[in-house]
Amino acid sequence: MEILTPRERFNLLVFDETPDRVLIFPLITNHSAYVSNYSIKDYYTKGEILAQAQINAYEIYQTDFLSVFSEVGIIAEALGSYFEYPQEDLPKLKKPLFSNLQEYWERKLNSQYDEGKGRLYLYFDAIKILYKTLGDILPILAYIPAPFTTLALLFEPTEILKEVSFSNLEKKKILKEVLLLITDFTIQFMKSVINYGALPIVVDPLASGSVISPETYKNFALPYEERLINYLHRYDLDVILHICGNTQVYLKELKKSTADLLSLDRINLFSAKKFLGNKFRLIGNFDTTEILLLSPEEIRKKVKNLVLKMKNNKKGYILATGCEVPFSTPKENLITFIEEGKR
Amino acid sequence: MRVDFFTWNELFQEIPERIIKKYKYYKRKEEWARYLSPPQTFAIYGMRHLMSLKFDSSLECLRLWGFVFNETERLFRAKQINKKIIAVMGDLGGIPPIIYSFNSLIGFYPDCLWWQPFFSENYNLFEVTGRANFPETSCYSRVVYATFLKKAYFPKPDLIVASTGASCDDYSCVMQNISNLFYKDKKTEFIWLEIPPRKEKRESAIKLLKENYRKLAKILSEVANEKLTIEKLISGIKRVNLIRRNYQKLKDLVGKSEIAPLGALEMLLLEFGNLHFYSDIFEWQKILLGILNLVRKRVKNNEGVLNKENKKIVWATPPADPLYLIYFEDKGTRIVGSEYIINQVLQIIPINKTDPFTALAESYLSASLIGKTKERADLIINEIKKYQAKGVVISQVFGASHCAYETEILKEEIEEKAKVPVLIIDIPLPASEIPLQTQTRINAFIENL
Repeated sequence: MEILTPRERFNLLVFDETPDRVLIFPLITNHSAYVSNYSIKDYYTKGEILAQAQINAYEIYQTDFLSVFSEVGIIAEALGSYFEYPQEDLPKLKKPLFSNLQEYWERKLNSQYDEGKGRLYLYFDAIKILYKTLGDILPILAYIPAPFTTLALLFEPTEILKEVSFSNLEKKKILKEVLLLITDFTIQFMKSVINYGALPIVVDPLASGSVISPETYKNFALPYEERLINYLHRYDLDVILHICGNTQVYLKELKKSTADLLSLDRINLFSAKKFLGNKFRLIGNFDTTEILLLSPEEIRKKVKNLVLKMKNNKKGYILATGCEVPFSTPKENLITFIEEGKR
Repeated sequence: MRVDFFTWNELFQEIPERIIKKYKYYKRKEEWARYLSPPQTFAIYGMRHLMSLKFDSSLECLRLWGFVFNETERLFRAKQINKKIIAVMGDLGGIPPIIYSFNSLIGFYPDCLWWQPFFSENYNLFEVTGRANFPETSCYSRVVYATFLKKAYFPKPDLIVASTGASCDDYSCVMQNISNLFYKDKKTEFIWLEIPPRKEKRESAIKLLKENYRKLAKILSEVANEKLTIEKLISGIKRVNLIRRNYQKLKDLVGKSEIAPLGALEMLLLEFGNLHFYSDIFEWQKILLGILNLVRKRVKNNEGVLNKENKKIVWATPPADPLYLIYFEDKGTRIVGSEYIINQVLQIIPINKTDPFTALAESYLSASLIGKTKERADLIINEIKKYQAKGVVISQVFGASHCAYETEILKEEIEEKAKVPVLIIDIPLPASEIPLQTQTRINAFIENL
C-alpha cells in the first residue's frame, strides 16, 4: 500500500516538492462508463452515473485524479445550442444557437447564469457525490470548456472558424463581444464548481494548433483562457490548462499563459520540456491511439521512456495521456500504463 | 456576521485583487507567499469539513482562516528559502519564544496536526498509524506519527525537540516512536526535554526547566549558526508577550461584551496561535491585531455574531472536531471562556533582564498539565467567574489518558465550587455530522442552563 494519498502527492507537487513518485493522470472520462458497463448516454445525462463510473474506474486503476467531464459542448448547450443525445455516443451538436454573426446581431445572447441551465447539473451532481465519497483522498478535476471552444459550438463550427480567420475588423469586434459574454458565463460556472469542491481544469480543444493558426490562438483563445485562469488565481488555485491536438505551432504563445500546469497532447514533450519546463508543471502526453491499440508490453516500454525523460522536469511532471482515454481501451493497457508509471 | 461556506464564496467575489495580493507571509514578495484565500480553496484541496462550518464574514477573519490553512505550504516554502525548521512536540508553547528569537528559525508543533483528520473528514492518517501498530484506544494525537512517515505535511525538520514529563501519556508514546524513526538519521538531531510534573518544589522545577532551556538555546544556536544574545532573547520574549497580551485583551473583550463579537471557532484558532504563531510570528502579530481592532469596533457599536440571548459557557479541553463549537452556538450558547490545556501560552513572561531563561521557566510553570487536577479545575472556575458563565462543557478525547484521569474530578470540583452544570462529551472519530445521541444530550444541557 502506498504511503501517500493522491491529494497529499498533488499538494507536494504544487508546493514545488518532490512526491514519492510521479503522479498519474490518464484522462479517464467516458472510458469509465465503458469499464462500468453504463451506457454513454446515462454517463453524460446523469450525475450519479458519471460519479459512480469514476468511482468504479478509480477502484480498478487507482489513479491520482478523478475527472468530471462529458463533452466540450456543455456550456454552449447551457447558452442555447441544441444537442442531441445518441444512446451510444457523446452528445452531438444538432443546431447551434446562431447560424452566423448576423443572427447573433439580431437576437443577441442571453448569458444570464443559472445553475439549472442545460446539463450543468450533471457536473454539480457528480462533483457532490465524488467529493463526499472520495474527495478526502483524491483531487476532483472538473473540465471547463474555454470560451473559444464554446464559441465554436454556439455557431456553426465551420462558419466560426472562417470568421475568426478571414472576417473584417467589425466582425472580429463582435466575436470578441460574444467571447466576453461566454467568459462571464463560464466564470459563473466555475464559481459553482468551486463551491461543490472540484478544481476546474480549463480545456480548449478547439483552440488546438490542428484547428487554428497561432494568430487566431493569440487573438481569440489565449486572452479568454487567461481571464478564466486569472479568476481561478484569485482563489490561489493551481490552474491546469489542457489543449488537445498539436500545439507545437504556437508554443511561443502558449508560454505566455499564466496557467500553472500545462496538459499537452500531440507534441514532442521532450522539446516542450526544454522550452516550457522552467515555467510550467507539464502533463502528458502518451498517445491516445497507442493506449488503445498497442500491446501492454509496448505500452510499458513507452511509458518507461516517457517517465524517464520527463520526471526531472524542473517544475514537476504528471504522467498522462495526451487526451481522453478512448472509450473502449482495453483495461490491461491502462493497468500497464499505470503500473509502469508507479514504478 | 457569521456566514456559511457558500456565502463566503459570494463575499469573496467582492474582494478586490489588490487586497488578495496584499497579504503575504515571511515578508516575501513572491506570488507563492499569498494566503488570503476563501474556505473554498482549502475545501478543494481536501478540507471537507469546511463545508459544514460557519465563519465570521470579516476580511480580518478571512485572513485568519487563510493563514491557518496555508501553514503546510508555508513550512515547505520556509525550507525552500533556507530557513531552519524546528519541530517541537509536547510542551505546547514553552520553547517557541526561544526559537523565534533567532532570525532564521521557524518552529512549529506537529501536535496540531491532530486536527487534520477532522478538517478533512478522513481516516487515512489513522489507518497509516494503525499499520504501525498504534492501537485505536490511544489519543487522536497518534496521527502525528503518520505525518512523520508521510513527509507531506511539513518538510524534514532540522531539529526535533520532544518534551516528556507533564505531558499527555499517549503523546509521549507517539513521540518515542517518532524518535525511533530518527534513531539512525545523522542529519536530524532529536532531543528530549523534561517538564516537571508538579509545582510544589518550585525552585527545583524552575532549575530543571531553566537548564533545559539553556541547553536547547545552545543547540538552536548551532542549528541556526547564529549567536543568541540576552538582548535578542529578551526582544523575542517581548514580541511573544505582545501577542499574548493582545490575545488576552481580545479574550476579555469577547467574553465580557454584551453580544458575542466573535465566534468560538475563530477564538479557538486565535488561542492556538499563541503556541507557535502558525510558523510566522510577524504576520501573526498583524493578523491578531487586525482582529483585536475589529472586535473593539464591534463592541463599541454593540455588534455581534450571535443572538444576544445566547447563554455563556466555558469550554474545557479543545474539541478535536470544530463542528461542536458551531453546534453549541447554533443551539443558543456562546463560549466566553476556555481552558484548552494551554494555559502556559496565555501568561505574560516576566522580563528578567539578567536571566530571561528563569523568566521563561517561571512562566511555564503555569502550564495546564503541571500540577494537580484541582489546580486545572481552578483555572476553569476562574474563567466561569470572570465571564459569568452559566455552564461548562468538557470535551473528551478518546484514549487521551489525562481525560480519563481528570474529567470526573474536574466535573465534581466545578459543580461544587462554581455551582454550574457541567456537560462531558466524547468527540468521536471524524464525521460530517454530530451523532444524534450527542446532539440530544447537548440540547438537554443547553435547555437547562
